[in-house]
Amino acid sequence: MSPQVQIRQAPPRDDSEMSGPWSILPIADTLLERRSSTSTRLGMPFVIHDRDALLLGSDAITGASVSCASQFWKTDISSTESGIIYTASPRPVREEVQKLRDEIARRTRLTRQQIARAAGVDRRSLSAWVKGSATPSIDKFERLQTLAEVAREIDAAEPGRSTEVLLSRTAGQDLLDHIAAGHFNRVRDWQTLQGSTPSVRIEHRRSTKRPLHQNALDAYLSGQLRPLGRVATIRPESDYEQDLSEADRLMPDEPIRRSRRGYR
Amino acid sequence: MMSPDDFYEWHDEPRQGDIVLCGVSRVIAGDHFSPPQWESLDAHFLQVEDAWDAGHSLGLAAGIGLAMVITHDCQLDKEWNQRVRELQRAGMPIEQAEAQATADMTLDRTLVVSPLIDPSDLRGGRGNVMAGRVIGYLPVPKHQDELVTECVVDLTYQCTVDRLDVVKVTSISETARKQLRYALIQLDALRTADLGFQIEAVVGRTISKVEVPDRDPLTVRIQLDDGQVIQLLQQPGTPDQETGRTGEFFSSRGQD
Repeated sequence: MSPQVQIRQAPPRDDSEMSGPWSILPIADTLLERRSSTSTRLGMPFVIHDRDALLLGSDAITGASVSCASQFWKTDISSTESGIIYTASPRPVREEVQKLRDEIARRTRLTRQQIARAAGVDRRSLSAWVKGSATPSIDKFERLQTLAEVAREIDAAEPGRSTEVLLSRTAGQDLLDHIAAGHFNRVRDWQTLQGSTPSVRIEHRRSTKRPLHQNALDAYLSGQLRPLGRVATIRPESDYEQDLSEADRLMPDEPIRRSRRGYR
Repeated sequence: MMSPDDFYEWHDEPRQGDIVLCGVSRVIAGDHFSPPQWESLDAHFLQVEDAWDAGHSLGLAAGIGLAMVITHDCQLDKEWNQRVRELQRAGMPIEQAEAQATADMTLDRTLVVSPLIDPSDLRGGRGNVMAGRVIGYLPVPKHQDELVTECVVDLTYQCTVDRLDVVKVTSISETARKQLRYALIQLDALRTADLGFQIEAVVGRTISKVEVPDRDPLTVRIQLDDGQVIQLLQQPGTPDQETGRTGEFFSSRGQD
């Protein structure tokens, strides 16, 4: 029997965090389960990157019909022939976010606030995603994935420089800003961007004359002179105050010198 | 120029006029122009590419040198002093307040310094400069330990440094500090700041306090170090064309 596949878009939700096409969710290591029995896993690795991938996957599994009455992170696949309903139960979102966040932190020295900035949210939102009390939208999840992916690439190409490269600014923006703005292609081309990041050139010039400070420097290097340090001195309090309104009364006017053309 | 004995006088605490060893820096253009008098200070050139975010770079010239602290005493440790007084007002003993303020690393610890330069490198020669006749320069005699050679403080070059990176070399006398302040006033604010000095020269005493009574703004009261008071009185209705003020001296010992 030829498979009959039906795809139904997830119903729109009011929550803006949940909006977006569900079918482009990149869910790794998805396992299909019978809804009727949570203990029986079919054990089929099922990677859904887009709608076509879902069709191919479902085609291979059911040989019947597929309905996607799923919520954002859940896909139901039912067979009209057998009557069995399979449920895609991917790793919970919070685990995915935590995995990405921890990987980014491990590869870079970015703070959680900086990671959240790349995702276009604040630190509390990122924390809420990890705790499971909120769910990221696809766009924001994709930003986290892009950050992890770029961190991985930089780490491989220039070990130990991930943070420096990610935070180096061009035209006032670093890579985190580009990720937050959704400029993924530009970010993936980080090596080109890095080539245009500010660099410092240093030139040294040796004076032909003996410098004025040479004797003092020699004395310092031989321990005869000491730095000022932080030791402060109590000073009169009244001397901190000024009254600018007094200026006009107390200061003499500048003498007016006119040229023949009348300019001062 | 003052003699070394009159010019130098050691003081332990940081003061305006201290001669220090420190780094100095200034912002430069892309061609790395360095006037002859600053060549020995401009030992390193740093060019930060695209610092202006518009293909425009930022240039810095920096080096180690001798410099004079030009920050006024009252500005030194200003935030530290304010913090100590706040804590004292809150009932903390002075020793504890000082210790707590010292432990606060956020308080301002900067100084403004001007470098010492070789007057031979200045255009116009060293004669007038070492005689103290050129505005913007303060002559410095040779230090007895030769830590400082005969030179001038270039007050036209001022930069802010962190006191943690400053080594004190020597300090100067009160008379020399007056010369410094006078030179700073003439450079930065008043080209004709010599009225007070002229009065001191005429009466042969040092001015210790100057005030303008609120009730009589036409009068300037100048208190001398021996307790005498000089009263300058503006002539009502006949302002001088040049300065707007004429002076008339009234002197009395111990009273107005």
